[in-house]
Amino acid sequence: MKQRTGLRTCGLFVLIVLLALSGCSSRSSEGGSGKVTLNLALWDENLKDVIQKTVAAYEAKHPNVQVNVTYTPFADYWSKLRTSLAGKGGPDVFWMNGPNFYQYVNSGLLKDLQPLVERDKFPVDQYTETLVDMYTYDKHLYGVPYFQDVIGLFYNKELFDRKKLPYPDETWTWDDMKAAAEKLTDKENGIYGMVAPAANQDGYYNFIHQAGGYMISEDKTKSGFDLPETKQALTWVKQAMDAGISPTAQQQLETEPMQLFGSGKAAMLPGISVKAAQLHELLGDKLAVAPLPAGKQKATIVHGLSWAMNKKTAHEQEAWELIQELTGEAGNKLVADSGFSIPAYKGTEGGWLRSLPSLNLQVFVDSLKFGVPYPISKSTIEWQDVETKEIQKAFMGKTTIDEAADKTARRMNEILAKEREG
Amino acid sequence: MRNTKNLTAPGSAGHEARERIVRRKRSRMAVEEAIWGYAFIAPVVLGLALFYTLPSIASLGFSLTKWDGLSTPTFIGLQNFADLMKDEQFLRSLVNTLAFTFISVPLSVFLATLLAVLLNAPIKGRPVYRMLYFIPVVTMPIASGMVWRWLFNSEFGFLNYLLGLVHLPQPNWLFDDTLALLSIILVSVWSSIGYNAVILLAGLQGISSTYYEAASLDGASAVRKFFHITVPLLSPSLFFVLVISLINSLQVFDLIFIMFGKDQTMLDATRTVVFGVWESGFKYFNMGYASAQAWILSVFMLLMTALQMYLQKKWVHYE
Repeated sequence: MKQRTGLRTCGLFVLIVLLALSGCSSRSSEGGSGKVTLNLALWDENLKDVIQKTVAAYEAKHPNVQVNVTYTPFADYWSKLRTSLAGKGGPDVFWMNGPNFYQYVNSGLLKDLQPLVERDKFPVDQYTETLVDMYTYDKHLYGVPYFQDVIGLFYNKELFDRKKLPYPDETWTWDDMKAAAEKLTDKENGIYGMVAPAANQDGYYNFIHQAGGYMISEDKTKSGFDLPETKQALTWVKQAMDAGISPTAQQQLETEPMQLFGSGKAAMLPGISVKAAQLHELLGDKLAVAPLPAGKQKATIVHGLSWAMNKKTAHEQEAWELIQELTGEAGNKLVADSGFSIPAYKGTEGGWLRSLPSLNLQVFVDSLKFGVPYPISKSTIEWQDVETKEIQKAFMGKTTIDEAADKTARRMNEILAKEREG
Repeated sequence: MRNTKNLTAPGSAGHEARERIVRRKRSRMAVEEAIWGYAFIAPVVLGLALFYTLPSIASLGFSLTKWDGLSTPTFIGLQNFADLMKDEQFLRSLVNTLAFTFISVPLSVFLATLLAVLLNAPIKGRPVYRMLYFIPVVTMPIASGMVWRWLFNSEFGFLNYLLGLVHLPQPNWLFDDTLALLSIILVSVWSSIGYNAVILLAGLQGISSTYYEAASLDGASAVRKFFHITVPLLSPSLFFVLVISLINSLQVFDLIFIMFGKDQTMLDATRTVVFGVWESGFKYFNMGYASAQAWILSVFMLLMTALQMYLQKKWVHYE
């Protein structure tokens, strides 16, 4: 008797363990009664309301489809997406950003949307060109732009008024900015005239294009960091730090420039459009925005997200219609009205412009005209790490701009060469 | 085991038969006991095998490949290891990790021993002190990393504010190449000291007071008592603490990630091996390269632990 209970218990243990393990691998399939289930994945829960409304509108039109939305924090989003797609599962429709786009296309994980675009005469020209270009690979669209962000110049009106200086406007150049920053700097009270960002997207990426240089050649084979124009832009940033009219790179590493600016310790901050709401909360009506000052030419870095489709989705048509619902005029209007960001569908930005009445957000929309795409290639993330580290070293004065820029270009070219080998 | 041996006279036929039954009974009992034993360890063994041993072996395999986590891995032999030997960043991270370990572990264990002795002394409010020193251990590294980052801020940080009050230089704790590692060591010692002290405290309380009484009768000084009674009798606990701290220090990641690598590019001065593993594996999705780094670190740990095991014969006293 005793023996048998022993054996039985043993069997029970094994069973429990097996059950627990099999539980991990069971995958949700289609819900019963012929209903189609679509899985939607993104990371930003701030958009929850918008997504909910869009999904409701979609489900009303497609009573046989049920959409499951999953939000994964950005830190885990990419590793989760990658492993689920590699496991031949994963969401049907998901968020894609620039730095990751090439890698996913090259690994054959994204559905080529071009045939669908052509079949349904999808109005691609209604979306910001820079973004359409960003998500086009080999003349085929792989992601439909959703919303975008550009860089503008935020400034603190109060600090300008105190010195009786005119506000920045669209005629400003680098020299105007520097001249004003010198007057605005108030060492006694710890106020900097400007922030010359040590970061790339808010900072030197813009200046490099304004100086006539570039980060990566259009065919993604060559780094532009060793160009004299690029070095000129980087030097401009470094000079502002050295002159004491901007916090140094070290200070910026320790204290986010946004915090400095938001607490009135800096008069001007080149910043990304999505920060407008947050800065407005900190500074209220003191906050204003102007286009970035021009170098040799005007330029501002444009980046945005798109919706992409899983290449292995079992419900192509339903997924495609869901993408259209999300990125269409109605869907994009919802994004704008929520005040989240500038929608990618032209003419739907009204709601966003009204979201902060005291701020002339039209500046950002106008800046799109001279927008340049955020630089990407297959291994963006890898060369960007090399780049930020080298450039930061130079900003901190541990190497010269020349050395840092040349080394970045050299390492970046190596990485790009490896990229082509596959 | 029940003693059934002397129930009958040895040599008789009945004895032999009974002996056989007893033996069979005993072996049946042994089997039953074994089944129970295996049943109880089955979940752990299966879990370890599935989530530890197999992945470890798999990662050894991956270390010989180039694999992005998506496509089929391509076998490239020892290429990853050869590349690592030329990788400046990796070599620097190895140096950083070793420097971090060899400074922080002795420091933490030394201070923890002192602390344990103090907390063992009959002082007022002893439980309160014991709790206070243990708080850093139960604080999430993420939280303490964030707070320390602020304390260390060269412009607005509390530490430099205090230094400013007494007119001392206010260094850049986190972004000065030489100070950065020391700052992390400081935080790490602060957060590990409580755990080590508790283990050592338990060891101290296991030491019989008769030794001290005898030593006092012989007129031994406090210092002498410490080195000739406390340290030898505490050595098993010290050994345990050393082995665990060493392994933990070689794996340092979360603290550094929170203080340096979360929002910005990791600078060479604060890069550690595990950070490199994370970066290669989950930022660049270069699984082969990440596995190779992880294995180099594992071999390092194995060697160090083996060395400690060997050395323990020379200084650890088991009663």
